[in-house]
Amino acid sequence: MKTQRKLNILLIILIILLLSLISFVGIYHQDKSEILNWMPNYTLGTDISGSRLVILELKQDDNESGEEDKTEEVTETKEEKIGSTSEYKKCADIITKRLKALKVSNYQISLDENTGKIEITIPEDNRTDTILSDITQKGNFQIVDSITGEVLLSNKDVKSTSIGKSESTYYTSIYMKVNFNNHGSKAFKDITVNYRNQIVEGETNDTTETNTAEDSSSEESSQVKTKQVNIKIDDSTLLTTHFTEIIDNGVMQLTMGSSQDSEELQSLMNAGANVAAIVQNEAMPLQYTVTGNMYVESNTSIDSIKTIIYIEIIIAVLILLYMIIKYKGNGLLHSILSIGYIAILLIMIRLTNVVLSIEGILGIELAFLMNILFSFQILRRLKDLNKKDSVAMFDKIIKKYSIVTMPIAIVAIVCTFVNVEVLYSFGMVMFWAIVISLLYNLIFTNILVRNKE
Amino acid sequence: MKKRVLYIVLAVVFIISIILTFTIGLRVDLGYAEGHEIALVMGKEVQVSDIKKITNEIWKNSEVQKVEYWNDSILIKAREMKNEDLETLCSKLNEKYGTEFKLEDMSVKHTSNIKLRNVLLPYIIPVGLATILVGMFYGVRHKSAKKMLDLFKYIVIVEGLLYSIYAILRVPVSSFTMPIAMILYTSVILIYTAKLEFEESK
Repeated sequence: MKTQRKLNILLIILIILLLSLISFVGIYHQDKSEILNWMPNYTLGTDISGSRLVILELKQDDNESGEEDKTEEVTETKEEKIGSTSEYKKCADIITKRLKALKVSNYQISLDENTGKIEITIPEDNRTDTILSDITQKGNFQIVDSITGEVLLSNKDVKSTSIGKSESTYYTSIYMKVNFNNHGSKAFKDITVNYRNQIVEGETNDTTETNTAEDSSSEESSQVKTKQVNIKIDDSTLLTTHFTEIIDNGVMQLTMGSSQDSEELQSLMNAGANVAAIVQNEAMPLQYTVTGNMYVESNTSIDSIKTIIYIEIIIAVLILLYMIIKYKGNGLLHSILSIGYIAILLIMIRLTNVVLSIEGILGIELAFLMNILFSFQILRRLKDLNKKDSVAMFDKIIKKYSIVTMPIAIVAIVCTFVNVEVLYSFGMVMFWAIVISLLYNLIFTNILVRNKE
Repeated sequence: MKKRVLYIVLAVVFIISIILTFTIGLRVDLGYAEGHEIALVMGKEVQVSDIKKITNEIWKNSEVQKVEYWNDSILIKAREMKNEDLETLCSKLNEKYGTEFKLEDMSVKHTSNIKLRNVLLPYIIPVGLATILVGMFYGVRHKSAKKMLDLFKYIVIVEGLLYSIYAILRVPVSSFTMPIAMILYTSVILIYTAKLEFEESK
């Protein structure tokens, strides 16, 4: 029995050692002439790795660039301030709303209230270029009569937009759904009434079909005359169309494109999302242009991150040393368990591609402290108990511990649902920390307690 | 009595912090502050640490960041960039890297500050919602409003002390501030909950 207990404990230690090696060192294999690690790398957040810095400045008037202009006039024009501070703030606010609508996490916007210059920092990923392609669009969405140019609907009539897809046998279509507000819904219904296919009696049209005008009886002939609308953003016409039925639900669906290719579909979705973000917000009062666009490494240096990690390791080592000194043999075993817990947590973080921000890295230390709290409770209470009482006490402590982790789980789950990278990182780290801590202690610590002498 | 004195001291500290914030404001790190920056293409691979050594000799507080992916472009930010500073930078860079920068090549751009409320804003709703839900958990678990209020009290005290450190001791607010605040917030919840649960089981 004694030998069996020792073998069980040895087995646990070996498993933990193996997991620690995998986590802290890695598993390597040879792929052609390279040695590669099976374990994926850590995914670092933009506050550590870097982001795209975009500088937007107000577009100067066209007459400044003309060669025939006198120097004095050009100087006067250049000194003339374009827009007011309130307009600059409005533009910055609209850009913020667009980035939120595009679900861009971890962006920063700064506005120079004197010159109107806006600096935007957004994460660098495969959507960045698409997002930035339309960022300077004024975004004046209008539905106008194709002949008279009368504005029938605009941004202020839009309540919300969304992007969806519909699949058929041969291809998938990406569409943008525009939901109008009350006033917009009524106006849109009127448009669908007035711009439907109309049968007009006794009128000839200008097409070649009317070559036989003499033969047609003006009283008996009927032509389809279609009034059309243009759907425009700024000066570009997205679509010229008419309506085949009355729409009174206040929803307009615009097809952005179709494809069978998944990459092309993704591009269409990204482009559609851009248009949707522009349409659902008001138009910018001023026109901006991109004067700078570059990838910049984070201003949080790698040295600072290393310092944080070293501090965390030092704190962990001190706590484990205290545990060993105070509880001797049992303390040593629980220290090894704690190291194994962190090893498994780090493996899970890598395997599930959890983005590590500064919050996430600090969260790993918090996870360690949370697990250590449990270890100390076990060591303190089971010190003088026999095996049977120890098992009963362990069951009681693990139940208490699971209740202790519930508020942290609430915080973690709330953070995972937030579209802010740093909070999402913290939430995911804590979520895995709690799940792994409970399972790990139910398995490994439980075996250790049951093999207590 | 001791608790009362402690609460009075804390209240005074918080009031001083708030007054200082509204009068002289919080000190901010260069990453959030208004300043000037120049982007330079070095033409060869450079290490940020080496450039940082040079900029530290010229400016008391400067930031150097790598630009793009080819390790040959850098962005230098400082609060103020006078012509003399730029001339010194040119000569030091030319000496070390064999470049031929001149003062005319230095295109200095002004950068605006990042408003601290924009840094704080993303945290307000999630933390507020999480706090309410944790409070509801306390209400259900302990059936005691006192314990729920005690939790809120400790969160306010700890975060208030952190804020006072920044306001009174003039520690610059940086990209580490909000992570530290978040960890402290979660630690308070963890420690207080553990204290209640494990004390009850004694």
